[in-house]
Amino acid sequence: MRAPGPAGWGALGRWAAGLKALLHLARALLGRGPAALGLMGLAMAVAAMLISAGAHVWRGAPAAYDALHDATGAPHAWFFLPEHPRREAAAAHIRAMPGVAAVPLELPVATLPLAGVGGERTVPARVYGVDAAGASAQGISGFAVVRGRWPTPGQAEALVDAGLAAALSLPVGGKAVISGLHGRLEVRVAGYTVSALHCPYPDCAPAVLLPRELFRSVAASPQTLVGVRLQDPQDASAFVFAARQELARLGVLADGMSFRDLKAHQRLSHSLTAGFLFLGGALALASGAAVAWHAVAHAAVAGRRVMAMARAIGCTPRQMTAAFALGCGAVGLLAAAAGSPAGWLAAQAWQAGSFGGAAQGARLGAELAGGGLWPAVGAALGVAGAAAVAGGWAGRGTARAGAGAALGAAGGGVPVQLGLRSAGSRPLIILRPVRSLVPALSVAISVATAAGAVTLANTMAAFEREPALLGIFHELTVERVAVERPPVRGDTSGAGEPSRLPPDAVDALLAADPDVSGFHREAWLRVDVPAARESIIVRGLDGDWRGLPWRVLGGRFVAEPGEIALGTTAMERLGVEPGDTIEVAFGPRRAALRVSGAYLELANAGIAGAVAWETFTDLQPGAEPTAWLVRLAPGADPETVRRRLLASGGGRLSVATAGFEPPAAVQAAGRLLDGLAALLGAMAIVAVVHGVAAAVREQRRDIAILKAIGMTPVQLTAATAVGVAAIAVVGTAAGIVTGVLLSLGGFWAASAVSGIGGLEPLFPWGQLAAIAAAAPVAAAIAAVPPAAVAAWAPATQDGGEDI
Amino acid sequence: MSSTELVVDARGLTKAYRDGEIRYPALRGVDLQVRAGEFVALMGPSGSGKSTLLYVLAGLDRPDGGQLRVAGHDLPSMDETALALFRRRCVGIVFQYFNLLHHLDALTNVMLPALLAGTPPGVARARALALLETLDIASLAAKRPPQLSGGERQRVAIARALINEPMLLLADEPTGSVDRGAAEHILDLLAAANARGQTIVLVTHDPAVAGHARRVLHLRNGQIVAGAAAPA
Repeated sequence: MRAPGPAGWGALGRWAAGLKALLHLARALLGRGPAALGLMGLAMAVAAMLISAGAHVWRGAPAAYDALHDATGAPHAWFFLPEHPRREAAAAHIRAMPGVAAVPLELPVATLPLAGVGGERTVPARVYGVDAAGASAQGISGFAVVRGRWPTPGQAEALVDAGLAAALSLPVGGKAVISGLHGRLEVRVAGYTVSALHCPYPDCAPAVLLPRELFRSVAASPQTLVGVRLQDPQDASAFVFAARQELARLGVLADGMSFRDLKAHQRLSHSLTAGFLFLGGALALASGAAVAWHAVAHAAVAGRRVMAMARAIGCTPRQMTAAFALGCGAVGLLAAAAGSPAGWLAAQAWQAGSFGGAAQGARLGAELAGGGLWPAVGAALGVAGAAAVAGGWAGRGTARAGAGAALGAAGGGVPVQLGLRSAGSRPLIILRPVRSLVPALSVAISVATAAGAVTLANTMAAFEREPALLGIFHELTVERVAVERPPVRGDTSGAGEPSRLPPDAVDALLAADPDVSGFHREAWLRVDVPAARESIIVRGLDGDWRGLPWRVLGGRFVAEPGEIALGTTAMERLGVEPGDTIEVAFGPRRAALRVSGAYLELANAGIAGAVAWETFTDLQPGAEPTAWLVRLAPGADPETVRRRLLASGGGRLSVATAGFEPPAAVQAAGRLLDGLAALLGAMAIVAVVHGVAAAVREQRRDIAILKAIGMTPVQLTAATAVGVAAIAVVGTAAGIVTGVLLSLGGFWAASAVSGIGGLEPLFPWGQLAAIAAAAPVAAAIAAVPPAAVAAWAPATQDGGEDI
Repeated sequence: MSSTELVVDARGLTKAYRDGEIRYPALRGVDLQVRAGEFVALMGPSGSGKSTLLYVLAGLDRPDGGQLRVAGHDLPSMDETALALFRRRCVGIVFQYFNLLHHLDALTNVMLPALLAGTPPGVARARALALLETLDIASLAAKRPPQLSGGERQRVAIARALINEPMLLLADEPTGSVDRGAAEHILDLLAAANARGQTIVLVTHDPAVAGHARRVLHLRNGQIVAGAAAPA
């Protein structure tokens, strides 16, 4: 017979009444442990915030790029045409290609060094000459002003990439210096720009927009940027490949990119951040689930008479389980409702920062809000669901216990664990917490997080201390700067003409420096691989490079002309293995290269390869090195040598210190992980203390019995502490193993996602051993106060109702 | 210990429970002497204070006032550690609801006080098995309490109380949770122990149970109202 429901409401009324009853029951049970519930809520809120932020960053980076691309009417494909007699014909050829809908962009562009006035750091920037009056009126395809305004025609003003401005600390209204062929040009920063044509890395030649008349005064032989919008944007990659082939037939060797490449760079640049956020969210969620388990265990003990009463009046075990699930789910939902929007807002702020400014960031945030709210909602519902499942699962066993047992009659009640070991002639009694999983998980999660954090910090420090681990063997990078008139004393040849130091002169300068122990030369070239319809960057190596310890991941490094070693992503994209042969093309020139192996390549997301100089010049006859990678003698100060080389170069050298500088996203994620480790560590300590206190409370009947038969307070306290320490040893072991696996997995994922390949964590075994030793001791110490309180209380006080 | 020696010497014991401002007197000046080898039954209705008196004698609870010596120990002056050692060495306690440890088997439950007292495990095991044999439950040694009947559990509890050969066995309604047949068996076991010289103080509200004792004391409103004097 079906139970009657409220009159007139039928099945709905019965459901509503049942739900209300369960809510009352959940409140009566879980309300007895507000501290545990609060802790669970905190963990769940943190989890929801991190997962929501991770999902928004993951989804938001490409979405925000799309928004920027649409908002600025950016081209789908663009080409950099070099100065060439047939450049106009090449541009016309692009305009006439099938599939072209419009050509919104045609600008002169040159890569020139830029620095803040008085600043030490110089960054190569891609400087565009723009029609300032037209830009003020109509904007420029692919570029947006995010702070300040467009340059005023006729004024020495520039619009500077927002990320570059942040890196050089250039305020709007501040001064910057562009080193051009005709000397230095000092400009006022009129505003910041972001561009849909530039990758998000600060070392990727960020954009600077100059009025065209000023541009002409600094750039003697500019390239021409031609950007096209396509009828079918999805054809952009194929269009770029086909256009480069067509231009090569005209004899014009042009670089080209599509918006799809830029979108991939955006995802790449944010995937690591999103990954760290997801990892943190998962740890917080696990922590929250563990605390939920503990909260239910606590409630089951404290509220066993409520449970027995409920069972006595007809509450089924399934309803009891549902009450626990409902209560934990409700707390989880409240927590997630607070945490998830916080994560959404944090992601928006991140996004705004990534795209450089308040105005554009807010607008992109609005774009995300329009179609991107679901990650926050999904994170909230997921976290609440996880809380409900954890609560229901934890309450399941208790709910199934007999009603009489729940009443504590006949000595029944909660299950207890008591270990008894004989050690020689003396017994060793260990009181193990009733629900060992809770403190064990708390310890394991905190240890895993700490292990991951110290491993990350140790690895980053090692990379900075020993960049050779990443295939960086040099301390200084030297490049030549073209100037109008060679200012080197006594050198008057070619005065009045743009010129650079000859490579031999750079070699001589370096060889003469007492602190330079060696160097090799490099140049870069984008080549096509027709069989794979892909383009890769080729690094030509010249000079003293063969003896360097390249990080080879498979096969071997380049040894002779006619070979190429590839980065891991290039290897994957081209679908080749060591020993295979690939044909590469640069314009009309083609070369068949044998793949010697894979190596750790930091550049261009690993879509690159290295060849000997002879191979490079076969593809590009007459090529000159563009950079000298300088190794210093042991103990030499890089900054001193840098200044000395700058001085000896007489203004015609750019010298930068090299080494591993973690990307901003990785630095931020590292800080996030440190903060998260601290938060989870604090939560774990609270959870362990609270868990042990609750465990002691659950064991009060056993403690009372053991007191009655003569166990002393010291013995009881020690037995509890030893029991907790034993569990903590297991939790610590699990945590160390998990932390090591997480680190290995994290670096493997970072290697794969970044395309660098071969990144491996460097484990600080000493620190890990210290953590492994300290964690059980800390857990045992945490167990002593509650155990001592219970042990020293009069025997009938704790177990009075049972004895 | 000679049969004339006092195992329990209580004079003017008082004890009250408090619930906020309200005070509930449980013992109001109890005088009680029990000599070695006696079997004393404490009778009285619910709330008369008999269980409180038993807990005070066991060192599980502390009197508010009066003097109390059990097995030569001045209990009110002892701290918790000393009381624990006193319980371990001098008294055995049998509870109405058995209070066995559910996750240990019957044999280990019985062995536990001996192990706590430093008895070598082999000796403790042999002694526990002998006691279980005496109580006719040796075949149940490997079973855990939830697998035993009420009468069987109480016999395990009696074995646990006796394993350290205490000077005083205290039993709180030992037959209160078992059927009549089991109750008779338990009382016969206690009588047999007493016949071997074991001093016993038993709390009950059942005259039939009290009839097994050699001396019966009546408590009412926290005071002994009859038979307080120890026989010479």
